[in-house]
Amino acid sequence: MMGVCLRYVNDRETARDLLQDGFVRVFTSLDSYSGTGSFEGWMRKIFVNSALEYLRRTDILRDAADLDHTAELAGADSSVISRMSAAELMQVVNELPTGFRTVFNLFAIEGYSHKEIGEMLQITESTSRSQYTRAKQLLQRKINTLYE
Amino acid sequence: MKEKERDNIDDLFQSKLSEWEIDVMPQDWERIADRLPRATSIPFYRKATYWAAAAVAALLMVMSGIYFFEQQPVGEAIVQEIERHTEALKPPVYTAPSVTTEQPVIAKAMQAAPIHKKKEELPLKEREDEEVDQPYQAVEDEQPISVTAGDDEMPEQAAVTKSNAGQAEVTPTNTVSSEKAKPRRWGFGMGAGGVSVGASNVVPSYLVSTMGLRGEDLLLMNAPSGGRALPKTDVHHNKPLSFGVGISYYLNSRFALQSGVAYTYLSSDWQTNDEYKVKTTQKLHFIGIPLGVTYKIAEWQRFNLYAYAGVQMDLNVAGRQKGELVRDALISDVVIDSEVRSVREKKVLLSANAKVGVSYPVLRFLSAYAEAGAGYYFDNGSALFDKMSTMPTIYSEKPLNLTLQAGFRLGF
Repeated sequence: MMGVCLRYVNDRETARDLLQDGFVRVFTSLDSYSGTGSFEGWMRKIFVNSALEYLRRTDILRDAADLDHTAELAGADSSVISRMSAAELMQVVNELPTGFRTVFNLFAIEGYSHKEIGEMLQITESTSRSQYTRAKQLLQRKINTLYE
Repeated sequence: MKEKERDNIDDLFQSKLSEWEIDVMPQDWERIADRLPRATSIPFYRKATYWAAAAVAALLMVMSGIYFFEQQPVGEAIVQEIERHTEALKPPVYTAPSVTTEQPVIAKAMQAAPIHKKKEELPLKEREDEEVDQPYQAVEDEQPISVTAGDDEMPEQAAVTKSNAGQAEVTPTNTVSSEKAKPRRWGFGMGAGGVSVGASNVVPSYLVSTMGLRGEDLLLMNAPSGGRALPKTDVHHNKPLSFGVGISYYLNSRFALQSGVAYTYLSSDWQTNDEYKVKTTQKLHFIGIPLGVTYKIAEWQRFNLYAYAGVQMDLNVAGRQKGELVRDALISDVVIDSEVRSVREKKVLLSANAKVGVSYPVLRFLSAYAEAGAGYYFDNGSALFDKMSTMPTIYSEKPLNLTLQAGFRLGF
């Protein structure tokens, strides 16, 4: 769960605080776990929600990068990504702006739809989709830069 | 939910980062433990309320048993028996409504007083009054009063009856009472005492459940003394103690349904080894409801041999754990930290019981009993049955308990 927290906040100390908040919520709301679905999946949702609450509370999501200045890039080679370690990919993701990183985490890694992301972040579905597209482009550029 | 925008790049990121783990610092777990809400101990006034409620309930059951006993027809039979004894001891009242061969004296008295009415025409009371008023004239050949029973002694069991002639006749009877008392249907009893066996065990790890410590923390504390004994915990479970209040419903002379309320007390203690050790004592209180059938096997010389089979549901109503972190300083242990916390297992315990016992009535309402039996506690998946859990009990070692119980039982 520490990895989940670090993917949303690229500050280790903040991630530790989110970890503690998340586990306190898990222990105090154990009665609400109905048994349907995996327990890990239930826990992961709690931690993701805790991270999003923190981001909303600190208004970080408002500081999204200007989408219009991001140019189209050539797609990254999937073979390059497959050779990269999890720590390297994590570092690349953490360099993304907060808004891009959040949408990318929710869509690509957690598996939420853009509609669900829009409801969670209180943005439109098209905004979520465009933020995700820009996030991928930035990731591809960084990966290409690393392995040129 | 995957959408059309997902591609293999997304899947690659997901496969590598979704399960990516980072080690957490030990201080993080301590902070989490500190932030968890602790179970508040029940204040004393609420504990006293619980005990007062239990005492009131027990008193109500006692009073109900006494009330039911007072209503039993067995008392009536005893009263009737006493009345018969009293009547038998009274001197028979002889009157002379008519002359019979057994009352020659009365006949002569009548002949001596021809003025009054014949006594057989008078009501019984007037006959007696006349006897008093009239002077008695002795007759020379007065015959002694004959009594069908013995002359001077009245038989112990005698029935006083009145014949149609109004004479008192005393005849011995063979039976004390011609009426049968109604069979008793309800019974009430209280029993206590227990002589069962405890249990001990050694767990090959540190069992720590208090002061926010974990087994790994204790391992770190004892690490400088590494090379000494492997981590272990000596666990000792004391014998269970129980007290019960029961009520019986007699189906017939042999079978009876039994139920009631039972209180069980379990205490355990465990201690880790090595230089830094944690000593823990645990006390658990259970309230249970038994339900079973008693069969009276035989009765001999007032000894009553019976067998019982049934089930019982127990609920852990309260519990407490006290932990102490001590350092073995060779001469004595130095207490570093301690904590008392309330614990409670919410799952219901179910057990099956069977026993054979013998009882002997010591007093009218008190009988002594001794029972030997066995009870099996079914594993309900709770911590009480897990040797490695933070709430082990004797049931984790011995779900099948052989018990010898002796005590006193109040019966109404």
